[in-house]
Parts: sequence; C-alpha cells; structure tokens
Amino acid sequence: MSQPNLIEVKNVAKIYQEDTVATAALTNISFNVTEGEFIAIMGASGSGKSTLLHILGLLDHPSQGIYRLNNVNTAELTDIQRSRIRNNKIGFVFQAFHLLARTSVLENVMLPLQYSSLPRSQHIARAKQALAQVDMTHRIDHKPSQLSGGEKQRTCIARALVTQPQVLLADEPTGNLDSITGNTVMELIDHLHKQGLTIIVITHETPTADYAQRIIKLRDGQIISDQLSQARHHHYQK
Amino acid sequence: MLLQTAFTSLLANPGRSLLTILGIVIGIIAIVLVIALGQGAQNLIVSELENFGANFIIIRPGRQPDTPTDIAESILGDSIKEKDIFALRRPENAPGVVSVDPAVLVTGEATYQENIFRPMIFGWTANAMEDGFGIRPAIGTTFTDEDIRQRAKVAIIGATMKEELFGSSDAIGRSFKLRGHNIRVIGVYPPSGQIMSFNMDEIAIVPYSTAQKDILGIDYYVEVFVRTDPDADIETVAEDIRATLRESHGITAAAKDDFFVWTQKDIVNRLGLITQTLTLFLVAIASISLLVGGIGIMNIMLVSVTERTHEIGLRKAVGATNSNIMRQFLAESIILTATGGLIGTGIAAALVFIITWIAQTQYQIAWPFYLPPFAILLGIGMATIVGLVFGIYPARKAALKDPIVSLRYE
Repeated sequence: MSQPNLIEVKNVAKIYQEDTVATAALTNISFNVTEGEFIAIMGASGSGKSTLLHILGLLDHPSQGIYRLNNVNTAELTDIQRSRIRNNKIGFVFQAFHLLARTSVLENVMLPLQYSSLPRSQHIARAKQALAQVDMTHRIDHKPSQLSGGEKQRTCIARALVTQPQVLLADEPTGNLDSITGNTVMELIDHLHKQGLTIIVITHETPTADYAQRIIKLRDGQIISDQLSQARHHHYQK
Repeated sequence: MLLQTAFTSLLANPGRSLLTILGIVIGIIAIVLVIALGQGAQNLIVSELENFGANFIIIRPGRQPDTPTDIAESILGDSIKEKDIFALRRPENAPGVVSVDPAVLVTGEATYQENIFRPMIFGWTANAMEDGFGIRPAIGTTFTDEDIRQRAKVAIIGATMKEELFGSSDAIGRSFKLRGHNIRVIGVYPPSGQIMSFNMDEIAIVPYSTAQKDILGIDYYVEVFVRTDPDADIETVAEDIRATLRESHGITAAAKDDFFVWTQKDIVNRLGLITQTLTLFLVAIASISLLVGGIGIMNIMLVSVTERTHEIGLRKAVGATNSNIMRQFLAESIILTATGGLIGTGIAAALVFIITWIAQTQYQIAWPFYLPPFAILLGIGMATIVGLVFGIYPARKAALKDPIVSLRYE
C-alpha cells in the first residue's frame, strides 16, 4: 500500500512584482511528497529552489496554484494557523544556522517550544531529547560561538526536531561546512529519515543530493526532472 | 518565558540598556522629587499650623486672593484700621474672640555702630508671638500693653539679629537705628530656627502702634490675628467678625467685602490647593524629560529591532506569530522603562531623605522624611506607560517584518 501524500504541489507559480516589472521565480511547479520520503531539490543559484522551500515551509505564499499540506489547502490558512503549522509540523534547518549567539545550545533548541502548546515543565526534557538525537548532549551549556560548524548544524537540526515535526526542510544544510563535516551532517539527516521523518533538502551540491531517494531538479523556476536517485539506490545496494 | 526572553535580550547589552533608561531615570527622579517635596512641604506647614492651634483667625485687607489683582489688593490694602480693632474687641460684637492683635510689617536696615542687619520686623504684640509660636525672650523681657499704648520704641530681637548687631556683648538696653528711630532692645529670643517660612532668629518685634504710627506713619494694619475661645465654634466667630467689619466699613453685601477672614481650615485648604497646582505644574515640566526619555527608548528599540532582524526571522520561522514578536519587544521596552522608574524612584527617595536631613540638621526645619506612596506608584506607573507607548512603534515594526527577508538580512 502506498504512503499518503504529505505535500501536494499543483501548478504553483511565484511571481515577484516590482513596479511594472514582473519576475517569475517559479512556474507551473507540481509534485507530491509522501510521508517518510527524502527528497532533494537541486538547482543552480536563481533556479527558484529557495523560493519553493519558503512556500513549502509556509514562509511565503504562491502567486498561483495550490499547495496542500496534510490535505489542507494552505491558501485557506490564517497567518496564525500558518505560524502554528510552522511550529509543530515543520522543522527548518538553515545554511547559516541562525543560532542565537547570546543563549546556550539548550536554550537555542528550546526556542520553538516557546511558541508551542507543550507545557513549560517539559521544555528542557524535550530539548535534551532532541539534542540526544543529534549527539549534542555534551554541549548543552555552550554558546554557539564555542561550537564547530558541524556542531552548530547539529544544534540547528535539534532545534528543528524539538517540536517533533512531520517534515524537515533543510536549506543548503552543508553549504557552510567542509565536505567531511557535511557528510556527517547528511548522515545524521539520513538517519532521521530512516526513523520515519520526511525530509526535503535544498542543495546545489550533488553529494548532498545523493543522500535523497528522489531528486527534483529546477532550472529557471521550472522542474526539469523529478526522478529517483540512482546514487541512493547504489548506496543502499552497497 | 516572555519576561525571561526580554531580560536575556536586555542583559545582552547591559551598558546600552542602562544608558537608554537614563532619560527615564532622570524624568522619574524629577517627578517623584517634586511630588514628595511638595507634599512634604505642605505637611510641614500644615503641622506647624496645627501646632499654632485651631482657635485662631487671620483678617487681611482686600478681597479673598483668587486672582493676581486680589493678591496685590491684599498686600497694598489699607482697609483695616484702628476702629476695626476696637470693634472686634467689643465682646457683644464677636463673643468668641479672646484677643485681637493687629500687625504691620516694617522693612529696612537695622544699624548699630558699624553693624548693619536687615531683619524682618513685625509691629505686633509680644503676647501674640508668645501665644502663636510659643517663643518668649531668653534674655530680657517682653513689652506690655502700656508700651503699646505709649508707642514705646522698644524691640525684642532674634538670636541672629542680636549676634549680627551686637556680637557677643549684651544687647539689652542698647538701641539700634531703624528708619531714623532709635529702638531699644528689651529682649532677645532664643535660637528658634525656621517656623512657618519665617526665620525666627532674624526677626524683631516692636509694638504695633510704634511700627504703624512712628516708623511707617500709616493708619492701617496689614494683618490682624484673632485668638478665639477654644470652646467657641470657629465658623460662628469668623461670621461674627465678618459682620462686625462689614458694619464698621459700612458694607451691606458680602460681595463688596474689602477684607477677608481665614480660619486655620481655610488656610490649610488654600495651601493644599496652591501646593497641588504648583506640584501639577512642576510635574508637567518634569514630564518633558520623560517624553525625551521615551523617544530615546523608541530610538534604541528601533536599533535593536534592526540588529535582531535575523532573530525575528528565525522566531517567525519556528512558529512565532506577529503578536508573539510584538509582545516580546513591548515587554523589553516596558521592562527597560519600568526598571528606569524603579531606579529613578529609589534615587528620588534617597534625595528626599538627604534634602530633609539637610533641612533638619543645617537649617533647623522640622521637615520629616516623607515619600508619598502615590509618588512611588505614579513614578513607576508613568515609566511603564512610557515604555508601552514608545515601545509600540518598534514592536509593531518588528512584528511586521517579513521572515524571509529577515533571515536573509545582511
């Protein structure tokens, strides 16, 4: 039996209008993501992959088309509902980490819980649990400035996991890391996928995309290919 | 959680936070100080008036001073004359009156040999001084009703005046010159300090008849102190006095009165009104510094919003709503200003303590330390409101930031 669709994107377009000039960042994008899938969205700079990630993460609205998340048409959601979904259904991993410099690793990971309905008494335990998932419990009292690049990204992943989301959206998660550290981070993301988490990674690096089951390639705001990853297939065969 | 986040953010830049609230601190110090000192001064004067006793009435020429013209009329008024004093002293006119002591004020230099002193000279009765302020000469004697009748050129002088004119030598029997008259010292008051805004050590009391007729050459009085029977109803006595003076002046309607009568209650009420008006005026001026402080808060909060653009974008990405962000920044500005309010109130309390201590120890003014709870509440309350009002714009600006633009902000 096939998995239900977590994400349905149908004929989505994004057009930026500045004065009289209209620029199409995305055109006629359609694809589905089933629960538990690991997808990489690839493309060169300016291909529209980040715009697509922002729409998928409910940080932006499509200009045209339909985006359904859990069978809910996101166009019908209020801003507050979108914030709630961002909080408890979506986990973000950023290339630039975006960790709060003045707070500890633990406090950084607890940040999304400030806006969740989880009782305050459970915040620390939940954050420690997320940090354990990324093997960062030994660094909970450290400040981000005391961490290596890989540790920063693992903290960022723990922060994304802390609300136990349905989908992890990673925007160039290895972009600021050397290849060895990048691989370690991708191994971690792959491990989370194997535990059942749906993953969508935006990247322009083939080694990163090779961890995904399926690769969607974008060029000039359009999907030019959407196919299973051969490398992944090969990787699993090994 | 909101407060903890706000405190963490503010403590990230403690120096800047402190400098930011300086304007609020100064504004609150000014407001609390004005209210506390105004209220303290009022309490001091009221308590001295109460010590003076409730059974006295003051009569002054002119109209009830409600306007500047009335005040000038009261100062320059010449409507109360000797015949009024005689009329008031007649028991059938005002049965509750015990004594009637007219007064005139003499200005000028008192000289003795090479020494010059500018005392405050009252033409009064020595009894009134004793009854009213409880002060009697420490050295020498007081003048009598006979001295008043005879217009004797005698005086009882304050301790400072004695020191300035006569030094350590005995003053009794010596004469100082005042407006060409030789006034003989018959008594010296003990050091008494400040009572009801008069420095009792710098005064001289001469018989009112001498001051009026010989020194000033006038036929009116500037003030009349009336002692009443403690058992008499003060309002009834005041009404009897008004009726007596109206008859004496040929006045048929109260609206045409050329004098006014104040009981202790009237003075306290009027004093309260004056103090409150003055305090309100000064608080309004001090509030300007709060306004400036508020603009400073707004400015720094705007800087903070710009500096923390990434953080705002991140918070929105992980689920913060616009109102979450708005509340966070509002909490920060309110915490800033409320802290300023607390610090300002604390400093103001210390200043009030120091000022009253100096007044007590250096100027012998029995001014007790008093910090009205109202002033504390107003100080902290106003600071909090400033934080709220001036925090709204930056907080709204933060709340409306686009998360994508914020995350990309360089």
